[in-house]
Amino acid sequence: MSSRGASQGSSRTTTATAGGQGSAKAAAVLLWVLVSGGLLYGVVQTVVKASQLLGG
Amino acid sequence: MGTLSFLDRERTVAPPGYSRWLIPPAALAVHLSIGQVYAFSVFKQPLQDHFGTQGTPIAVIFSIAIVMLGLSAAFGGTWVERNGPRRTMVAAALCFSGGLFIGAAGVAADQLWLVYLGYGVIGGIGLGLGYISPVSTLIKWFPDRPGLATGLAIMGFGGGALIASPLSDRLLNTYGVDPASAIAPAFLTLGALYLVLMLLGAFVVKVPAKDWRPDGWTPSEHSSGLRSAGDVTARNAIRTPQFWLLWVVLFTNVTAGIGILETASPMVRTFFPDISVAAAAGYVGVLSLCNMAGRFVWSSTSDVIGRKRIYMLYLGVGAVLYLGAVLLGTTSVVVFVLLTGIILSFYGGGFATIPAYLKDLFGGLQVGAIHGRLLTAWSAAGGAGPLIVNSLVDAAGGESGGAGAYRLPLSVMVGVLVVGFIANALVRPVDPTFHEPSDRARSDDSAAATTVPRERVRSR
Repeated sequence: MSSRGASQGSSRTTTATAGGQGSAKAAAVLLWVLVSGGLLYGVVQTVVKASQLLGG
Repeated sequence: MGTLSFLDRERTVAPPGYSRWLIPPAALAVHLSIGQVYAFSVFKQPLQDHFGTQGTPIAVIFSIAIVMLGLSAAFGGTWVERNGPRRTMVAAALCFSGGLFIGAAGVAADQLWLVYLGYGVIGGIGLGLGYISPVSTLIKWFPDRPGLATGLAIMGFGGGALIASPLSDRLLNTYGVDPASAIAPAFLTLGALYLVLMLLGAFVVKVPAKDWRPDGWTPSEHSSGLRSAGDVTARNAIRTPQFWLLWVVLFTNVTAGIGILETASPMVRTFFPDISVAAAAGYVGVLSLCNMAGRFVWSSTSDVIGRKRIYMLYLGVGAVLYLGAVLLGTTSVVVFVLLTGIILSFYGGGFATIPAYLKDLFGGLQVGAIHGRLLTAWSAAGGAGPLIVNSLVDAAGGESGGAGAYRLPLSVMVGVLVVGFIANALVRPVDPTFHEPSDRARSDDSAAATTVPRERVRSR
């Protein structure tokens, strides 16, 4: 590969890596939302059920 | 091959500036998924109705899964350390979801053995791999606060049941004319949901670069208190008295907690006969919340007050609270719920703090593998706790014996916790002859543990 070709390849790799990191960050943020939402759903459902213990 | 290289440990190294707060959701995604196993009881009656059998053959499914959890964590720990978190999380996702799919096929084909193989054996392997896979990664990202890190992840395992229980209930009431006819599609739906969530976690997880450290944090070069400056391999760790003392600590803490968890609903109705079935289910919910909250709160607190002290709290105060339940349990519902709720928070805290305790004693080199081996205490306690409580309650005349039937088993748990308290008190720093040479520890960290450290030859 010529140096220009190598440079272009390196540039493409860098761009692809940067793109991959960006999507990983976006996925991590999405995952925070999903797990927080899931936990909230579980806690609310449990509190509703638990309220029957002290509420009669 | 090229696609699979995405799973390699080297491909998961985070770039400079990557926020460590993007890692916990990956761990939570896996633990929230596999925590479904704690909600298995939702399927118990529908499975009994579907297969036309008694409770025991169905309870065997859960037991196989828990035994496989302990075994795969114990024997797969070194593989997990070698292959890194992403490959392990993918393996866990395929096993756990695959187990649900095979279980669904077993239900559809009326073949109970297929449910044993799917949900029990294969799903159980997924449980074990999934449980330990994110723990050492989080400890590496949070060397300054390992208790908080492991508390975050392991809290998910407690929280998984809170989500799976109402969700499974809804699926069972949506897919069929009755829950027994809706098990297979419910398993398929859960399997698909958990596959996506766990694979998303695998995609997101990253390990820190070789010399990465949190801003403003400098690792101590010297041992202090129980904290070791050296690393011990998993193979050598099990030769130390500290490993076995912690095994006893975990075993006693889990035995005491699981004894209450397993029998919570009938126990509260025996103590307070006026309580309805729905209210008893609410009590189980309260215990689940305390179990989950304890994992995060107490494990994070251990970063401040130290691991040994927090276990003194779990085991020492836990014993006093058990005694309180024996002497004052029948006085009021509030007192009973308060006492047992705190006990269950200690139970959860014990699970979540143990990886950080192991890291203090044995270093971070193979903490995941050591943790996996220690989880055999969980499997053993899973059998011992319910056995102690149920056999002693039965001997005292069962639930018809009233609250008195629970006095002896609860008193036995006081003794069990005292044994754990003594074991914890005996924990001392690990003998440095068990440590790996420091240069080897460093190179293993940087080479992403592509080789298994050789057995340390001790000369004392």
